[in-house]
Amino acid sequence: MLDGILQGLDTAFLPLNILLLFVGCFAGTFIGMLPGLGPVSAIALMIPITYGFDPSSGLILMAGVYYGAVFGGSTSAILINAPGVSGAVATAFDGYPMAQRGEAGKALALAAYSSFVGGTIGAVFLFVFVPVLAKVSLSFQSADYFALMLFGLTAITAFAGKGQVLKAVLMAVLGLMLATVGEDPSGIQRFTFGVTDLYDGISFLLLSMATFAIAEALMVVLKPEPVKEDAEEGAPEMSFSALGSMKLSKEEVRAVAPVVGRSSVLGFLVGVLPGAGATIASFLAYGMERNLASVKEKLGFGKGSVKGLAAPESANNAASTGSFVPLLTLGIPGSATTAVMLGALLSYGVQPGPRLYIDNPAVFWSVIISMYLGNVILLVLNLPLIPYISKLLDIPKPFLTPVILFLSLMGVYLISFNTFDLTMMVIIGAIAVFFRLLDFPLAPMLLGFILGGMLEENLRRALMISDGSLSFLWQRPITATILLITLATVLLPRLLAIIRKQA
Amino acid sequence: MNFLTNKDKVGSCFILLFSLVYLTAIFEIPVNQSLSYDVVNARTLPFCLALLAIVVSAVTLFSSASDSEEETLLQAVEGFQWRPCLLLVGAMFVYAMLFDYLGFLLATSVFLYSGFYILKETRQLFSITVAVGVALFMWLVLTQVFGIYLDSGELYRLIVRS
Repeated sequence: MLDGILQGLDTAFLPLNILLLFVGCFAGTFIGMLPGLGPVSAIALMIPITYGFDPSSGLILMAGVYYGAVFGGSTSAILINAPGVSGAVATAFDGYPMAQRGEAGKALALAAYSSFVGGTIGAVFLFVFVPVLAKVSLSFQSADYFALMLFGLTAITAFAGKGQVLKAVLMAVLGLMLATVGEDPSGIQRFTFGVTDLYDGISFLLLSMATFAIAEALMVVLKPEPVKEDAEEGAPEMSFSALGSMKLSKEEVRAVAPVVGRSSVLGFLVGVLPGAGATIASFLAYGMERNLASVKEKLGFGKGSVKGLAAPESANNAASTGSFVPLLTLGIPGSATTAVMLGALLSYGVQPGPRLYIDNPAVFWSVIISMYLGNVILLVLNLPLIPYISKLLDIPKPFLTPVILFLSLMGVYLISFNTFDLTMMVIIGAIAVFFRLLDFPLAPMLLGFILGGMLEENLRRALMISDGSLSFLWQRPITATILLITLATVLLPRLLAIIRKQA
Repeated sequence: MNFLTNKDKVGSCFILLFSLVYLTAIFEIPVNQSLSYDVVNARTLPFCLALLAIVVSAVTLFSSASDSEEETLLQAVEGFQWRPCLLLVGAMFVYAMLFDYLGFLLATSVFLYSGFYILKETRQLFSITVAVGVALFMWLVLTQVFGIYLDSGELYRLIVRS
């Protein structure tokens, strides 16, 4: 393990990788600040750029982009009440009121410090838990992997809103169907209809760029921004020259310290669960702190409370780190963002999972170390640059949207150099907009698409080993346990809801 | 609630239709005779998926729309700016179609300028400058920094030949 850590340190501290981390944090902050573009789109936009890099460097850049995008989302949430990412929605509850009363600088600094502590606690937990879990999962066989893929698919229920579970299941099945296009594991062409461009299947990058980057850019055009109530009342617009002081008083530090600690631990644990992610973690932490607060403090929540800002910020960053645990140890993505990263890893020829720890210790450890470095860089680089980075929000939409569309199209073209992919991307992007209008969640489709190939491969292998018998589902204790957990994850919430209704 | 305006029903219908087409296409998949002893073949998973999708979409289709308070599709798209969105989709199509003919620089400049125009940017000269500037910058970065080959296009070759 020590050798692996040293290899990881060597890789992470290479000048090129440090530079990439800086670039990633900066680019991620910018992209995350733009409403509509979150970490998923930011990472998807980075995939084509990183194709020429070695896997470690590519992942280090993406880790920087990820943290930058999460932080950028908070910046726009605080400054203009427009969370760039869903994980920053709870940040806006108290961050924006702070900015309105002239404490934008303090709010941004508090968000940065809380994120840093959240990320630090998350990274320490990651350091401890990931190797242990990876060692356990080394004994996994194809039947266990098949069960794991099924467990990974249960994450879709978390992507679904109230009453959306069936829709999420449908979208996941749609993703699984799209994954069957192209050559099957035995070399037979499926659903290609004689089109040679489809022989290799639909590219993951194409699908993720079309469903996230293109669809989101089109949605921004389609959906005119609502006029804010405050604007109607003549409230002054946020001026970046009026950021105010970035210093926190001793009392404020004392007040938020336990909040940040609690929220970080909660955030990490929530992040580890497949599908839960930063958004749920931030809301849970906000709710927890509100419940723990005194009656007087409770009244301050939603009106610029420092605790109300620190809790979601530390939780969402810790959850972002936690979501890497299932990805790195089991090879199953815990969130839409890690799903995109899984696709990127596969395209580099790196198979995440327990073998990653053994086969590619440099990649494994450098990613974990870089995640922490990303937090440090965000703090030292972005905090002083906030007033300047914020100005990027002033780029007019008529210029920004076509450039985002162009970058998305180019991202895919530069991999295949095939204009057929561009046409397919536009069609999928348009269909994605249609699904978004119908409130059908797109993340489950991506999850299904990513897990589809591995699911089929492991199912076929497991069936072949067991001579076509389904007994592989209960023969091994690991498989049976994972399947039981999967069943419990799916059924328990429903049973609890029924019990609650009857009570 | 009208069938056509219920978001869940429209979506489920779309997936149901897709699943039916997918199901019929499964029978076009060749089955490798040399692997006929295999318990799972190229058709197995697609067949299971098609069945699952048909069942779930049918359940969604018949179970939704009972709630009359639910936002309808027409309500959801009220005030939407369809024209610029559709024009942008069209512009992307044209970009994809003409890319090989016009080449990277010209196609990108035209696409970006048309994008700015569609989104009602009125400063024409500035738009042209930005469009050409972005295209040129990207071309320089990709070809000179990353060493990526970008085709100059049929049109360019025709002009050079003549």
